[in-house]
Amino acid sequence: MYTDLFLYFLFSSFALLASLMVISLSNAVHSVLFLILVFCNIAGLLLLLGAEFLSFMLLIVYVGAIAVLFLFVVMMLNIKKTSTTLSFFFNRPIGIITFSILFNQLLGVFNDFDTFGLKQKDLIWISWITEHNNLTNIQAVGKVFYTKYSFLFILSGLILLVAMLGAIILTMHQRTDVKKQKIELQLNRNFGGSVKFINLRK
Amino acid sequence: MYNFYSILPEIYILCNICILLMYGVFFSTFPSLGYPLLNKNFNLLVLQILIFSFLLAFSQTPLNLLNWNNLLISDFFTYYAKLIIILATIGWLLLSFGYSIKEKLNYFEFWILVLLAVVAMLFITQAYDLLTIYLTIEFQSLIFYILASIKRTSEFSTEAGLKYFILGAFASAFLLFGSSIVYGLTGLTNLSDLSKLFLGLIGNEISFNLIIGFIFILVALLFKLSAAPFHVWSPDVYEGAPISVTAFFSILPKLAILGLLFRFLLFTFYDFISYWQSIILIAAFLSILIGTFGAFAQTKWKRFLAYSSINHIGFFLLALLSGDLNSISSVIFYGIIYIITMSGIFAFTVNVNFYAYSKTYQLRYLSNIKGLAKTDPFLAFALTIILFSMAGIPPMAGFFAKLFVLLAAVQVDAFGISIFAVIMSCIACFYYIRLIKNIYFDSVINWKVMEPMHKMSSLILGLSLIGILFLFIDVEMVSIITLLMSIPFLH
Repeated sequence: MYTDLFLYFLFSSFALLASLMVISLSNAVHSVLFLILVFCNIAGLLLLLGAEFLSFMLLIVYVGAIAVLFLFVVMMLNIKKTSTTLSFFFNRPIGIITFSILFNQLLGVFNDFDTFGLKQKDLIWISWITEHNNLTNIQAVGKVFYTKYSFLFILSGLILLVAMLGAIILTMHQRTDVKKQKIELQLNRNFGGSVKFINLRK
Repeated sequence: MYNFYSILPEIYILCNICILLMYGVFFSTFPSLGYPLLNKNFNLLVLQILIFSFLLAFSQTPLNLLNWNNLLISDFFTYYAKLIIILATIGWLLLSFGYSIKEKLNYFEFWILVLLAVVAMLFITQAYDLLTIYLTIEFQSLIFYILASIKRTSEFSTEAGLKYFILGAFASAFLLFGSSIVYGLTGLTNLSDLSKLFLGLIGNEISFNLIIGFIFILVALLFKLSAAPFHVWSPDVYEGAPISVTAFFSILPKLAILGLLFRFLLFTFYDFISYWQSIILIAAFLSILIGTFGAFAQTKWKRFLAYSSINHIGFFLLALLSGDLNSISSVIFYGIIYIITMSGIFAFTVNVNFYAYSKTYQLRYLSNIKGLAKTDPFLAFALTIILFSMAGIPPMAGFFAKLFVLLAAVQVDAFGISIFAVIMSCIACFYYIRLIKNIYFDSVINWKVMEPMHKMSSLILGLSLIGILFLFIDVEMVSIITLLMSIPFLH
């Protein structure tokens, strides 16, 4: 079976292409989107290696948090966009690819499954002993993380503490002379009080 | 049990950090007390904590063991390095005492960050695993980025922080990349495991990729040490940061990183000596060259001191070349003298303020000290002694430091670089002595009025002066300790 190899090449080539796009695109938003694509592909590669915990962490942390943060920052920076119009013909290949993938899935279901007899053609064997004794990835990570490498765990906790402290020190301004909007004063104003007449000495 | 015993001072400081954080957060936002400024209070508390942790570290037995699952090591070097680092921090605290009150650095978090930085440096001296090395160095650098930009209303300070952050993050990435290459090729992260693996590799083919990984790590460490081809950040960061933070950067972390470099080069990668010797040689050569000639062009004290420290780093690396007992001990000796001298000169630089009507000015330009001999002869004398020591004039401590380093270099027939170092140090003499000429012989038209120094910092200045002046009576007092510290690095 060359499925693994095929998937490996697929993911790595997509990752390469997407990372090339990240640095070559002129629109910052698009390049961040391609960065997310890179992360997704790397997560796929990690899944192939059997490190499912790492791969999902990558998805959650990088795609879920960091890349979205990037996206927000890039959008807030108000970078001038070069507008591109998407034509119908540009969309069509993507549609075809999606369709063929879905169709392939459907075919696969029909191949493995005897639809008329409502039963599976090939039996799948599960070794329940290994399933039972097997350590999942997360369990294995946790077992060394909280025992052998507990020092590193505490150290990374300290690093996070420093990051929190730094963010608070460098950004929180507690000053009294900052000009703020005072809503109660604004609401109290009326037409009568807004213009005053005063007599100047001639 | 030994796990906790060996890092008792760090645990003590960390517990106190937690308590101080709570205390600071509650009290600085307490309306009925009128939002008190906790600056002075925190300064004294931190002083107390450091003195207690010094006593803790001092009363420990020097152990020789690996702990925390071989992630940390404790030996003679870590024992004495801890003592030196905590002592140097106490000295720094005393000399920056007046400055922080005068300049209104009213963030209590500043002192907590200082304590955290001390913990980070103590861990760096004990790091014994690539993972620990990366995490501790990252821990230290993160604190330093914040410290550099702590004066957030000042443009220079934020610029320094940002510059330091970007370049430092780059170096950290190098460190991580190099470690991952080494791990990928060997499957090991522990320094002693790596050293055992490399034991027989001398004559054989060493994988080229391994050397690349090694060089990546070495470059990152040299960057953190601000050795010459990777020194560009240091003058800018030193100049931009508030001067007490500059003093912190230049006094404290050098010894910790240097210890790590020893452990890395002389213990783990000793069998690669033919490869790293040339790299260290180039770095030493460039450090001395740039440190000497760069300092010529400077007009500001902070930049001047930055280049001068690059020059000293060159001497550290010079003695590293041979990698035997003598040379390690001479580097540590130089390091201790460096800490003493830098404490002295920063006690001067941080605390000298000139009074011009209605305002006081900090010492900023080198030419500010013209005519100091007339306005304050004792201070002028103290500064002269320190500058003589930095230049390496015989009876001062700086002379012995340079002498031992050069002797160690000559013993392995490194004549070329030794002669070069001697010539460069003669040239360096010129600008140190030019400052002394400014102090004593230049006539000034506008006499300056100086504010009296803070009592604590004058204490530090005096102590460092005594150390520099009277070391020659008993050099062994220091050199025995340095010899003890250098023993663990031998095979």
